[in-house]
Amino acid sequence: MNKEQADKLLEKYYKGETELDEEALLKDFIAGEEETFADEQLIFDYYKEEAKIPEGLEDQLLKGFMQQQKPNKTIKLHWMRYASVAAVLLLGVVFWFSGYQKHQQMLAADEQFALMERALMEVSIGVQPPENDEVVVLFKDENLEIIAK
Amino acid sequence: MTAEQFKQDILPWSRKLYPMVKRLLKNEVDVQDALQDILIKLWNKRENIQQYEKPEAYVLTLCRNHCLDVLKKKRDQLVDAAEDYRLMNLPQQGVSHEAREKLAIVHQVIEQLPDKYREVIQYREIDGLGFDEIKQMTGFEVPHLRVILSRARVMIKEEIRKIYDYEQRTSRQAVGKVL
Repeated sequence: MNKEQADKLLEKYYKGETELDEEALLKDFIAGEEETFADEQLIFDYYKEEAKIPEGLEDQLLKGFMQQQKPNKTIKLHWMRYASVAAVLLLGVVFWFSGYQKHQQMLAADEQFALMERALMEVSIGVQPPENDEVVVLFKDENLEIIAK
Repeated sequence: MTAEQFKQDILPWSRKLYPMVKRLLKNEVDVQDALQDILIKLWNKRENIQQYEKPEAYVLTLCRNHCLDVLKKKRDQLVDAAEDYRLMNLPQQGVSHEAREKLAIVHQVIEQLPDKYREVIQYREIDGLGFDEIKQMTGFEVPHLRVILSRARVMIKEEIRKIYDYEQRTSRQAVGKVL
């Protein structure tokens, strides 16, 4: 491209009529023509600076992606491990609790029986005549005994 | 297998999206994090993307929306100050102090453009988007986009010229006074 062609393209550029490939050509040409196109060179330098991609960007992003993929697998394994431990613990708790409940039921039945036994005993003692009291036997045979205090 | 597929189908988007993400988020750490998240999103939606004949608009919209979400979560008033600071602190990249000052001036000129002019200029000149892609992003028809682009380019050139004419005049006056 010579200066005349660049001038024409620049005119087109300022009218908004250029396409991307033409703009790239123009920018390349002007980069080496500081004296003639000082303003454009400054403006295009700014655009170039703003569009600059830092070195190693893609490597860095790929590394980040790989690191992000790894923890997922680890998390899955950990999740399975924790889930199996939790399941075993849960089963243990369920077995223990059902055994405990049966035991409590048996204890409760024993206690109720003992309470009933004690109550009957109290009643039985209550209806028995005191052993030390003196009584007079008024009548006695094989089936019947009549006493008087 | 996964790495190869990612490298082939998704990773190339990073070069296309980087300038836009950098422009929106500014902070390099945020840019890298956002790009990483965007690529993962694209990876998870790779089957949807394959259905599009021209997936650019879908990917660019996803990218811009993600950046806007990040900005919403982390609205930082120092962002613009940080951008000027970044432009003024590029020595590691082999840019001279004078060049840095000039780049900062162009940046300020573009920042002062009306919103739609600035948006279209950035999509075209920095992101390298075609008219169809800019149409998808902005909703403006192509003839209208060409008019916006033309006006924005002329405005930038005129502003830069004004600044440099003024600077040259003042430096000539200073030299005149000394002599």
